[in-house]
Amino acid sequence: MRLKSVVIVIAIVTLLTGCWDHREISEITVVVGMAVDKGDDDKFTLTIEGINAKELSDKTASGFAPSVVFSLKGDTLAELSQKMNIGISKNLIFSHMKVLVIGESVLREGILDFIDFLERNREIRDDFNIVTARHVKAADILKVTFLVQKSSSLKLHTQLNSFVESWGGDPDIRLNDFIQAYTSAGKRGVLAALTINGDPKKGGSVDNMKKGAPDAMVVVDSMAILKKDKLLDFLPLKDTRNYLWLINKLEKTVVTVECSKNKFLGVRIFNTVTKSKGSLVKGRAIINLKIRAEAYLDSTQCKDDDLTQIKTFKKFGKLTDKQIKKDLETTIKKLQQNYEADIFGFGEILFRQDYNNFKRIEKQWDEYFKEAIVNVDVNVKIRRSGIRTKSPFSEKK
Amino acid sequence: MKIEKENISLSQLLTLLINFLLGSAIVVGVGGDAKNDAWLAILLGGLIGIGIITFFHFFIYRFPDKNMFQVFEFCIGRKITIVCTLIYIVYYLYISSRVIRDFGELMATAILPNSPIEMMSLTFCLLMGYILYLGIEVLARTSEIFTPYLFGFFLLLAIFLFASGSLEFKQLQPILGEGVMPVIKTAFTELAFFPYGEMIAFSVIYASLTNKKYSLRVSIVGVGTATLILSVSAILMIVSLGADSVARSNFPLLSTARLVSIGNFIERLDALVVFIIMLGVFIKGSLFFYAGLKGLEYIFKLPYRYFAIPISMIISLFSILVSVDFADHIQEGIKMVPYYLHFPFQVVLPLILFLLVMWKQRKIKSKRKGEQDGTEQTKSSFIKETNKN
Repeated sequence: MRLKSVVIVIAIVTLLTGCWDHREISEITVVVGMAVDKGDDDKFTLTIEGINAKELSDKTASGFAPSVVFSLKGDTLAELSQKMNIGISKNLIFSHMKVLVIGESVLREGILDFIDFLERNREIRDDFNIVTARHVKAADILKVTFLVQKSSSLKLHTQLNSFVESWGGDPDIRLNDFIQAYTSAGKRGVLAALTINGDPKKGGSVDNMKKGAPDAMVVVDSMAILKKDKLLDFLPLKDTRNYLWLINKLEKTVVTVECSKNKFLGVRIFNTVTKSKGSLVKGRAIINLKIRAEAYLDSTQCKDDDLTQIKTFKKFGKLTDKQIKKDLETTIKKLQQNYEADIFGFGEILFRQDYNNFKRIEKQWDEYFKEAIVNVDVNVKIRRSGIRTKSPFSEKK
Repeated sequence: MKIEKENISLSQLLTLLINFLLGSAIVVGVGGDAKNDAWLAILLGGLIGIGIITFFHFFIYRFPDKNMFQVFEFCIGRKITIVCTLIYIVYYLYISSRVIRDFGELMATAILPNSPIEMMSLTFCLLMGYILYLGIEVLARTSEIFTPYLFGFFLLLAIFLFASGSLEFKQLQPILGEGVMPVIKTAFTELAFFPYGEMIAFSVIYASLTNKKYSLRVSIVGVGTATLILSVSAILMIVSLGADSVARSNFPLLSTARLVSIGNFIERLDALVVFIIMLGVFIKGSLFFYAGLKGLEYIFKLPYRYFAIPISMIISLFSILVSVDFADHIQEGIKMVPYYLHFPFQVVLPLILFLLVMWKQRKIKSKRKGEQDGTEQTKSSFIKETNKN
């Protein structure tokens, strides 16, 4: 009886090991970045950046390259991602990917169907930034080393997230946002566009991260706008912030406001909400946007306005309102007239708030968007003015 | 051979009901046809579910100590009942293996892609067999012990999702954009059978209940709670993934959990969802299994424990053989099972049985004018029950 139970226990132990897919940490390379370019003969070129963990730790770093960047050509990312051992020694782990760079060529051709792989794969998660590369190959973006975070992808991830928090310069697109923009009838996609300042060839070397002013640096350049999967154009960074503002995703920013000729205010917006209402009236879309924000004054060059007075706060508030309204309207107008691309999701607002009417015009939404009346109502309340009252240059005593 | 009486308490019944309804419904997501309004459809389905459980109640409590098969015998005699029971056993065991397969597919797709699904199914079924070998009481206690964790994990998931800022409540709009028809249609054609109609498996459980006085009330609370959880989970899916993504997800709740990321620190919470799903699937699979075993017990007049381990192996085998691939499995679940299995077994046969019972009892009643017999007690206790409820 005793023997029997021992045998049973051993048998069960062998059944319950559950280590079919174990991978030791020493046997893997963590992929932090992925870049997709157009292949020459094949459909895609996939480039991955796998980190060399030893170099990322201060204690063990010995001055070698922080990551290995490797490219392969093929027709499916699924196959390519498992074939990387052509050049790379260890098994690749994709679950910690931080950045996906889509090449300009891919966007121009509109071959975005590889996105399906990223969504379907169980290992890849929806927490990486999606960006595009302008003027340079996507693969080159991954190669540029950087002083502080060494690996390009890790740097970009932090950089983009900080940029969203401080100024709102990255549309902060994740996989789910990207796909939602594609599937929605009333919304077009956007992507942050990066480029390399300097010589991409020099950027790949370890020497690049030894310099305080590197030979090559990846910078946020602009915002790409898409229509379905085709690239339309790139918009300047200022429009990125306005875009974020209009879709109520802006966290913080600083607005420069002209207060008198060639004199400017710096107004830091720290709390802003955009409420949007939409309906179709007589065959025309009407969108009402109500922006409420709190701000504090970060700098003033108008030295004669006394910041101890209520009326100065009011005046500056009004000026800020006007400036923001103008900026936002310019961006909207540009998108309506030059591109007919509704990146702000106005169509989606109609879809949610005026479903039955929108359903009828869903197919021609682009034309309706062009004709849409967008009312922007901005109200910024300047709450405080830093730790000084008057400007030191003030002549009033 | 004497068949022993087992006892289940009201709180155990409550947790069994909740886990049973969550079961595979939360794995594959229900009410998807209603898109944004899936949660409304589920709420409506919950009302239907309450109706169904009330109906079963009145029906089963005409004979408080008999399970469904014994009621059959009362109406149509043992020989025909054996045939009916056999069909029911096949139905129960088939659904049980489908439930196990649901879970196996989830594990094989998302959690343990390199482990053979056969192994997961086998170990899962061994556990089910062992627990039912120990009796329904043990299953009930298991469910009672683990249910608080389910609530805890579900709450955690909701909080984490909220905290990581992935919820956009405007995605619930437009509410009833296409009118009420899709909601009603989903509730009545889909949700009424799955998961609510499947509560027919409980017809073999109520006989073991010790406190019958409050059982209807507790059952309604159970169905209501499960409905709320299902509805809230549907809302969570829609507001985090968007209706379109939910429709394209094989396991929407799992996809939802993958979105959680708080400060690059609290993330990869798949395990919470897998726990919720595993508990539900385990209880649901076991209850169908138990219902099938009870049928065998009725036919062979042997305690059901004798069959527990062998039948669990059959379930394990059929959970693999039931379909060749995932599409086959889902297709079968949507196109075939509701019409060819759920409808006859959940609606037609119980209704016929109900009418037979009414007819039979009336006959006995008219016959009894003047003479007393054994059914008096049954009848009076039934009246007592209904008055109290």
